[in-house]
Amino acid sequence: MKAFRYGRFNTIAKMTLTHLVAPIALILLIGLFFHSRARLEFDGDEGLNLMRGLLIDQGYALYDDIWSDQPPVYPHFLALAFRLIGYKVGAARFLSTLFSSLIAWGIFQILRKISGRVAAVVGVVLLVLLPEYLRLSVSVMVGLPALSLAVAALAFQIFWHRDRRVLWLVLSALLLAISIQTKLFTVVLAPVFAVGVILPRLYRLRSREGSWREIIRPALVWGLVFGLAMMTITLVWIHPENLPMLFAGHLAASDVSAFQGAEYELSFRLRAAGPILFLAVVGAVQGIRDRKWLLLYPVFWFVFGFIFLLFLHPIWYHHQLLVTIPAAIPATYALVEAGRWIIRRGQDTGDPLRSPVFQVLAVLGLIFLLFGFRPPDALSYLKMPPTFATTGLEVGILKERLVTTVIEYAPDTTWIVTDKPMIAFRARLPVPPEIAVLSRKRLETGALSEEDLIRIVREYRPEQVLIGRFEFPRLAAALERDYSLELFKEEDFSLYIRNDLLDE
Amino acid sequence: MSNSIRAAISVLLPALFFLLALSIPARGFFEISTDEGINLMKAELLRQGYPLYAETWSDQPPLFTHLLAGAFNLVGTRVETLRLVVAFLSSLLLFGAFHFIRLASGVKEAVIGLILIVSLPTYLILSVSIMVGLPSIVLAVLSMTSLGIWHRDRRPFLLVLSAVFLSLATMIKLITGILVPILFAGLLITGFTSAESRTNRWRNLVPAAAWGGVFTLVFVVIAVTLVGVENLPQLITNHLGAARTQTFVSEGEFRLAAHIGPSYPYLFLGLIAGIDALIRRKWLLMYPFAWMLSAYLTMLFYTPVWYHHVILITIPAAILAAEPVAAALDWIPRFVRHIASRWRLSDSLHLAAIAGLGLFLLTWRTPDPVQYLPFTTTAGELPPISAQSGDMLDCIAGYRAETAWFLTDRPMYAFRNDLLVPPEFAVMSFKRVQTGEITETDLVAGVEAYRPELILLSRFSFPDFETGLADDYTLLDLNDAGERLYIHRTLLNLAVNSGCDP
Repeated sequence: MKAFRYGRFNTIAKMTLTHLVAPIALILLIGLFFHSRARLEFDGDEGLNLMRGLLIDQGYALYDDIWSDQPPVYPHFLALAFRLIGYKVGAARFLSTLFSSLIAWGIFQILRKISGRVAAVVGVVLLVLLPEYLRLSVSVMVGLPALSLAVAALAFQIFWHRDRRVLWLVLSALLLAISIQTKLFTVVLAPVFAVGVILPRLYRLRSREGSWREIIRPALVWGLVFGLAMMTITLVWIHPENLPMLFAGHLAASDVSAFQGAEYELSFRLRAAGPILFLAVVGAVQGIRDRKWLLLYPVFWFVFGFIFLLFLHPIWYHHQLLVTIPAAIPATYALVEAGRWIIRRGQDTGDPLRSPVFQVLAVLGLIFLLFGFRPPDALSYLKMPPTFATTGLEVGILKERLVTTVIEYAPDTTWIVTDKPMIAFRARLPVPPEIAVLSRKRLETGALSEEDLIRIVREYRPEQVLIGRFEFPRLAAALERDYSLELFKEEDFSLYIRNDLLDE
Repeated sequence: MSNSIRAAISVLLPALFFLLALSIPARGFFEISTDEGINLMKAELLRQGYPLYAETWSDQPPLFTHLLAGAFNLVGTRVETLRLVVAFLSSLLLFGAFHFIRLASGVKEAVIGLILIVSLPTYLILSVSIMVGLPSIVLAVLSMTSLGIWHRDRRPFLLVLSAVFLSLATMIKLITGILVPILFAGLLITGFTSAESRTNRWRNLVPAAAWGGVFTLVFVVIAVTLVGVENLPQLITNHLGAARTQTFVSEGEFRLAAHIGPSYPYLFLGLIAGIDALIRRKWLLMYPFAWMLSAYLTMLFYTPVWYHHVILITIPAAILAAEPVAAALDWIPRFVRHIASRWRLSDSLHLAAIAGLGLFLLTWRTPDPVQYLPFTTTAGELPPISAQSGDMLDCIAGYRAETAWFLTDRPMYAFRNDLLVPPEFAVMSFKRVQTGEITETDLVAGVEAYRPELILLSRFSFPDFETGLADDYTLLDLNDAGERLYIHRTLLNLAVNSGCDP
């Protein structure tokens, strides 16, 4: 009886270890060494997302009231987080870190199933070192959450291949649907998953081992759950008549002249990740040679993602994770296999009089003598030792004066019109829902014009107007009569206060 | 390998290095470090009859100054030629290191060791800099090598030689004194652990005692004759004061961490070699290992640390590193042959994966000496005699005949013009100014006493002192580098040439 209990305890301990080590390590790494609190914003998109979450929490409906070209899941997640913790940037950023830890969990599980524990650990390290990964793990942005749900879906898909439990299939389909409803780009995974459910059984059918029922059942389950989930979310949170809003802006953006130029090209964005992509190709060939068929999932994700990005325009730095995260899996496989190979062959050729440790260190030392160590960019975000000291507003000294002024007038403010919703969010002030998403894409494609802004200012009569990201000369002229301008030169901000607020 | 071939290699390689030093453009620089001018001026003053310490203030031991003064008689006073004296000493270091490594590890390792030493950050440039650190380490290496050979054949004169070398080393720069306890402890341990120790305990300690005795004797003799007991504090107090000076303590650029970065691979290799030597009981390698560790610890807590201090740590590290580098170089061809004998596709894939990792984590590193070699266009960060320094030199030359004393914080200008700096002010180093050992009041008193015809301030600014000069001196040349040349008004009437009219 005792032995049984001990065995059970052992299993639980093992389970805990394999499932929790990677996510907890990632959360600790970011929590202790990534000092994000003093950063006003990592990206202009952070403010857009936060403002969407705030407006939903205040009862405005996404799409009907709030203009948005992104699917609905993430803003609703944010609204939920705000309901629980309050309007805090830190809460939203921690949500991203949690999503990131889900990726770490998924990568660990996938690699453990394909290649073993060593590969799982190496994979998580490589993941952290991916260009921009750590920064996006604390940014309030939509891509990483979508990818994390996709990675989790892939992990469940691989679990299903091992023990054929329907539950894994259901979870996989469900998570992928939610992922696509977070950001559409993970749609590239749907065909990969669908084929992955059918193909191995089809293969067995050819060798006369399986039956048609064995093929159709899992495909049906997966397809049904996926379709149902997609539809439910669309009906409940988007409504069919709003669907064009999700596509029109993205399709129009590719022709806009402002987005032409080398920095919007895929080749530019993937330059830093080049070695990882190269390793992924090596790992793919290696995996096929070794008949590691499950590795084909990330490989085809990587291929389809790459093709998708080839046609996407403009490309931003955060898009690269769509290919680098799946690439990290075959890349890790290649590295671990190469490591095993060099240990094996090294033992055959080592000097029997010397300890192998000495020989390995000697070779490493020689390498570092001849080459310099190039710390991956990711490490530049980590700082030692951790300090918890921040300014009162946690935004850094430069922006503090600006935020303080906006907050000063906040009690008398109902609406603020701004192209920097991060500042509005930090003052807990709502932006008119139509222009909560005042993105560069929306302006450049002409989906929103300066006249629209002037009309909205007339309509809402905002107590404050804060312009810092774009230039609106006609709006500035229209504001002259009723507003007083306060300039924040160093930060390039113009804050307009409605005159009646100043009189009081 | 026969003895004569080994001997030939041990001479040939240092000779090759000397030729390399001969040909690098850096040898023509106006001033590689401001210490160069200071060292040259001290030697020049000594030759002209102004003794060290009694007249010339100095916080360094006397030997290098005497050596330089001797070199003046031998090779003349051209700076470019004098730099070769240091290069010659540097080749002696390679000679000594070769024999030490050969003794401890083998000839192949010794050749690799020499390449490693020359490749050390700052080694090549310091080999042509008229500075005290490298010459001191040369003698320390020679001392260690002599002791190493003594361990093998126990010839008493080697023991004496080792002790003499080390005391000379410390009399060039005191910091090599960290080797005294190391070598002495090595001798003591050898004595205690030798086979005869049980029969005659005291006889086994004779070598240690003899070594210690000779060292002390030579040290004391030099200290008494060349320094003088009453001047000994001058060697110590300024360095102690610097360790408490706020500028040096608080600013990172004066700590070891600011300079050690490029040397880490050598320290890493030195560390694993030292541990390997411990495990394999290669006791001779404990000398450089202990040297490296104690130098590292000393420098870690020492301040100010300059770029030229780092070789005190890295030279023993490079000596140690010879063995692991040789082992790695042995293994690589064996490994390549092994996989080449039965090549498979997967081997290519694995190699590609390793290359991919390299692309991700590594970057090409240009070895330090390359930047000083004749074929490279950018010769480090150190300018050759620039148009600016050249103009200033010419300008000063115009007044040379009428000048008895030239007060300057950059004595290279004086030395290259055969002028003398008043002995108290020959060493106007950053350290001395920062510790407050020299003040504006001292300068004012100095001008009163010596009535220098020329005053040039280049490195430091003394506003009150310079204002006070207005009565008797004219500010003559304010070049782009911010150098201020003051000419005594009696000289102004002279119709002098040069492009530096008032």
